[in-house]
Order: sequence, then C-alpha cells, then structure tokens
Amino acid sequence: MFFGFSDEEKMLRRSVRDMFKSRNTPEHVRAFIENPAIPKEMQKLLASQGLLGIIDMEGSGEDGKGLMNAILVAQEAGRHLLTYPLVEAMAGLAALKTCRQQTRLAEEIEAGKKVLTVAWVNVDAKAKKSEDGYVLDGTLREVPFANEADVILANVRVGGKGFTPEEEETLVVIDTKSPGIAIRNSNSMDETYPLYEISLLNYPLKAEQVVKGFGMGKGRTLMDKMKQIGALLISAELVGCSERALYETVEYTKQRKQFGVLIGSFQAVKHLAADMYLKVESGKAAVEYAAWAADTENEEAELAISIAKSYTSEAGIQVCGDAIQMHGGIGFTWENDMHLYFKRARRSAAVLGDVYSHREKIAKAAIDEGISVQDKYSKRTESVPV
Amino acid sequence: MDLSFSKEQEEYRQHVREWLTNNIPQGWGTPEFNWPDDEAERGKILREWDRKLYEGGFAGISWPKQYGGQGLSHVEEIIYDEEAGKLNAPSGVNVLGKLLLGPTLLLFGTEEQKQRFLPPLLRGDEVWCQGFSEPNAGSDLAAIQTRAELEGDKWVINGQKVWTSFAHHADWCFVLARTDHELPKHKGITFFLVPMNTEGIIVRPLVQINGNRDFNEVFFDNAYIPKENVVGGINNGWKVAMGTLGFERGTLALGRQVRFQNEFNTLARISSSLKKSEESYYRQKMAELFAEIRILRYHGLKTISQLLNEGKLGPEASLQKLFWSTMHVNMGKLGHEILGEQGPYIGKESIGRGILQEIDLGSRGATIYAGTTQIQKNIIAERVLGMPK
Repeated sequence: MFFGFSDEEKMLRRSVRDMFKSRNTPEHVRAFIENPAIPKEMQKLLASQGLLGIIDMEGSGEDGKGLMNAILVAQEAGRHLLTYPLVEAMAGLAALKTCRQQTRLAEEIEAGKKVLTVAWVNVDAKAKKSEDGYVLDGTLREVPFANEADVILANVRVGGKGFTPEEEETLVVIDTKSPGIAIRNSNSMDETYPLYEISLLNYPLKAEQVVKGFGMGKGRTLMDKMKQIGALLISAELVGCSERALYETVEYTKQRKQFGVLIGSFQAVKHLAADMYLKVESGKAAVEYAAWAADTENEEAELAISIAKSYTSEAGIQVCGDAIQMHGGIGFTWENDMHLYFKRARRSAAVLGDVYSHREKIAKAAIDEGISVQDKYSKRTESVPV
Repeated sequence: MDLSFSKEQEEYRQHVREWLTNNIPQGWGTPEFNWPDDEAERGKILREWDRKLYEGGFAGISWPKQYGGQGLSHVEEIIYDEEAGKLNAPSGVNVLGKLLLGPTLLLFGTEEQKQRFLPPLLRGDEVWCQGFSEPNAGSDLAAIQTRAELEGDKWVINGQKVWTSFAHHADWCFVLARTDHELPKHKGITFFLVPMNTEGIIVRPLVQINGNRDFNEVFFDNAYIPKENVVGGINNGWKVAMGTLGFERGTLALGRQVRFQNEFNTLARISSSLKKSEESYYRQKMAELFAEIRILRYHGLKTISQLLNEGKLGPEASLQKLFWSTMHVNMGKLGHEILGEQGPYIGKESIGRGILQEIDLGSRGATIYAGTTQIQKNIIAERVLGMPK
C-alpha cells in the first residue's frame, strides 16, 4: 500500500520542471502571444526527451499505460503555460500507435519532425464517396494549435460503415497542407493555447489516412479513449497551472505591505490561501488516483477521471481567480501574469467535458447505478425506511 | 503507486469482517436499535463493546504485545478501521484513551506508566477522558489557567475544564495544568494523569445541539493526585500535548471516509424516494458531494502512506481535517435541500427518521473540535505555505 511517487517518477518531474522553467519562461509565453508560432527548439526538446509518446494504450507493464508519467509531465506543462499541444500529442500518439499503418507517421511525430493536434469536436464533418475514394466536408472545432500543426486527428462519419451514426465514426489523419482545408482562429481567450476551427470542403481522404480501419465502432472507441486520456491530462494541467498561481500569489503576500505590515500576515489573506491550497492538493490527489486507476485498468477508472476533471475544472478557476484577487489592482492588469493562468484555467475547464457534463457522469454512477455503487463502496447498507 | 494490500493483509481483512459481522450488537446503527435513555446505561453498552473488542484481539492493534496490544502494524489498524466503518460498528467509549492517551504514553511515558496504564485501557477496565480545553482556552490552548501545585508528595489541582467528552463515563482524565506562572505560557504547562474518583472533582453534563450528552464540564477543587502522575516531565506538557494532538489528525482517515460513503448512500436513497434524484440541480450537487467523498479517500491513502513511510504526520494533515469537516457540513446542507419543506421534522415518523438532520447538526461540531476550521487554515498558511505570523 503506497500512494505516492517512485524515485524515477520524482526524477522525471524534476527534470521536466527544470526544462520548462528555463525553456518556457514567462518571456517565451509572452512572445508566443505576440507571434503564435511554436518554437522549433521546444519541439525538438520535447522529442529528444522522449516526452511525446509516453502513453501506450495497450501497456500492462510496470508503468501501466504510462499515464502516471504523463500526468507528471502535463502538470509541469500547466505550471509553465507550455505553448505546445502536448495533451493532443500525447493522446493522439497513443491512438496512432495502436495502428500499424500509421507507424511511420507516429515515428515522425515522436521524433519532433511533425506537429500533431486533435480536433476534439466534430460539428458535422463527414465523408462522401468520390470517384477514387472519399472526400470530407464539414466543420471541426476545438483544434488547438491547428495553424502550427502538420497533421490533425479527427473523427468523421463515413456513411455505410456501421449500423449507427456512432459506429460509422472513423478516425482519420488530416494533412493541414492539403487542398480543401481552411483554418480559422476561434479567438479563444487563452492565448497561450490557441484554438482553431477547421472547414473541410472536398478534402480528398486517402485510405492510408485512416486509423484502425473504417467505422464499425472503431473510430468511436479510439476517440473515446483519446478523450479520456485528454480529460485526465488536462486535469493535470489545471493542477499545475493553479498550483503555480497559488505559490506566486503566496510569494507576493510575503513582499507586499499595507497598513505597515506584510499582507500575508492578515488572517483574511491566509485563510484564502489555505482554501486555495486545499483545492490544489485535492485536485492533485484526484488526478493521481485517476492516473493509477487508468494505468491499472481499475473498474473505477472512468469515474475517477470524471471526478478529477470536474473537481480540477471548478477548483482551477476558483484558485486562479482568487490569485487575481490577492494581487489587488496589479492582478487585474495585462502586464501581470495572473490573467494568463486564469484564462488557461477557463479554457481547460471548458474543453474535454465541462464540470456539468462530468458531474452528470458521476451522478449516473453514484445515484442511478446506486445499488452497485453501494456494493462496491460499502459492504452493508442500513435499512432506512423513507 | 501501489494501492493493493498483500495476501496476508487481505486475509486479516476477511478475519476482521467475519468477527465484526458476528459480534456487532443486534440492530446497531439502525433506528431499530434499542438505545436506552439513561446515560449510565448507554455508557455500559459502549464499555461492553470495548471489552468485546479486546477479547476479539482488536484493541491496540498496532501497540506492542507487552502492553496488551496486538503487536501488528498500522496497516492492520487501518484495515480494522475501514471494515468497522463499512459495517458502521460502534467505536466504544474509550476513543480518547485509544486514540490520544495510548500513543502519547507509548511516546512520552515511563516504562512503569506504560505497564500500569496501557493494559487496563485496552481491556476496557479504565476509560479515559481528555482535560485540555477551558472556558478561556479553546483555540488558544496554551492560555490554560487550571493550575497544579506541589504539596509534599501530592499535586493539588484547581481549575475548570470544558467540552470534556465521556468524562461522565471515565475512570481517568489526562489533564493539562499550569505548573509555573513565571515561564512563558507554552513553557509552564505539565501533562497529568488524574483519577476521576479523586475527591474535589465534579462532572457536570452539557447537552449538545443534537441532544447528545457526550460532553461535560469538569471542576477541580483542591483535587490531590500522586506526585508521580506526570507524563514527559514537569513544564514539558506543551510538547507532550502537541504530540497528542498530532494523533488526532489524519490517522482515522479511511474508516471515517467509509462512514461518509454510507451516509451518502442513505442520502441518495432518500433523494430517490423523494424523486429529487431525477432533477438536474440535485444530481449535480450530489455528484459534487460524491466526488469530494472519493477525494477524501485519496487524501486518506496519501496520509496513511506518509504515516507508514515516515512514521509521523506533518502539518499537511491539517488539510484532511479541513477537507472532511467542511465536506460534512455541505452534506448536511444538501440533505436539507433534498428534504425541502420536510426538513424541520425529526423523530421516528419523519423521513429517514431524521438521519439527514442528524448529519446536518452533528457536522457543526466537527468544524470546531480538534482545531477549528480557522485554526487549521492558520496552520496551513503559516506552517505549510510559510506565510508570516
């Protein structure tokens, strides 16, 4: 019985933290906001450190599926407002690696030669038959860094490849340099992690761009897994982001004086900081547990991820908002970094299932399937007549 | 990360579960349980349970065998506690003795004291209460005014203690008293072991907001006790007391969590029967509460790992107390939202026989005892985050 990290895991966290601390500084982040281009050095660095392909959906060894390592990296990415589609690269590579046909592409991405992103939402994109195969038409949303990406993973419907619309879903690799694609900035408030919308018009889909074959529920299954991994990783990002906001704020209260004393000596300020700490640590515990559950294929994994995402989404916004409050006027200015954390939390909370949708999933398990939950979590139930 | 238990530990769990199933008093934890009105009778039932636990080998699970314990590890203790939580087993009347005094004596007591006090404590022959808080020393515990003076070979104690749980059932009390008025307030305090049948001790019951009668005021009017009844040395009581309070935070994590899980299941059942669990508003709030109860478990697993690996808990343990006591208040609020206009009615005819109302009222104590919410937040801010005093 041990809930904690091994020495190797601690070492990984330390080295990634140091790396982002020197290579993804607030100055780098500000420069990216001015000119949103992914720095080539960062891309190389992530690849050379082997951080992109650390998730193995089919893994069952000592590291499970690699999710514990992945959340440690994602937490550091959130802490340093990393301007790279790390969540998408990790989740997307995990999916690509399950398909032999995509081995070469996966290797190129892992080696940092290509940037991969994911279209998390398919509005209405579907394939229709053309003379020599298929063409794609429609809109994809919530595509981080699409403007900088070489390839986009998306789930599109291919008619006739399943008995239900869900079954027809097919995971495909879209080449951003190809004709028939238009990329538009969606104007997300979080400029450290821009989101794009993709319009497809007669985009030619080749058979080799399909991951794990057409339809028959395969695309749906893969995308669901990617979304679960994504929700877990972004929860970890939220923890890192809000933890950074908390500690920067605490430092500020140890320097800023009012009424002749440090504001950190006021109980009103201390108690707010303690509440923030409680939220950060609770979110952290939820993410760590969920990663363990997913790594070990525990039956609770899905529930644990919904707990982590709903908790960290609400807590992240609360903590980063309180960080602005505790900074006072300066916290409300563009030059101060607090709004960057706050906006990153806002975007992270909204995507990959918001608080409401994950709580509804929890409710299904905890209330509707209450009987099995009772059996699972407590062996005996009192007979309370109502 | 490894959240599994060994085969031997799982076998122990099975053994605990079987023993508890066969030994928990009939109807315990349900409204059918025949709970006497008379306090003394209630005390007898609880003491009976303490004796049964001892005979079954479940008293002092991690205490050394030579003092009547089982000589097992904290893991077995945690397993017992978790199983007891699942089956909603009673916790007896000697909670303070087992949770606070025993570990304190093991750490600070003399060999003689351990041999004299620990075995009867575990057997349920000597029940203990805790004499720390005073009318003018609550959160500011070091402000205690109860004093002890040496007269020949006796200490004479004068003063008043309050919120003394189980004092009316107790045979002994561990008392903090001031032994030196010249020294700074933290330094002139001594930790005493006081027999409750000492002449000059008067116990007056206090009724809590939920009608329970667990606590009391205890008055000391020239109470003479033997000179050797001191733990950890004269004027060293603050250090001993802080060790004691460290045991109060965090160790019962999993057992408590399981009891909250049981309460949630009851709340979910009542909400279903009132057709509230189909409405989005209640579903969302119940999901939020459920998530927090699960997170409490994760915190518990972390705390226990720290205890097993480092042998002690740091100031981070305050987080756990803050988390669960606040969560429980929210559970009480949600229970009343679900009851709606049925909220005010309690007793045998009411919905759930008043169990949700009991959660609501009871939860108001936990944010106060064992260090108030505000004190926990001070501890986190100052000792964990390093904010200025």
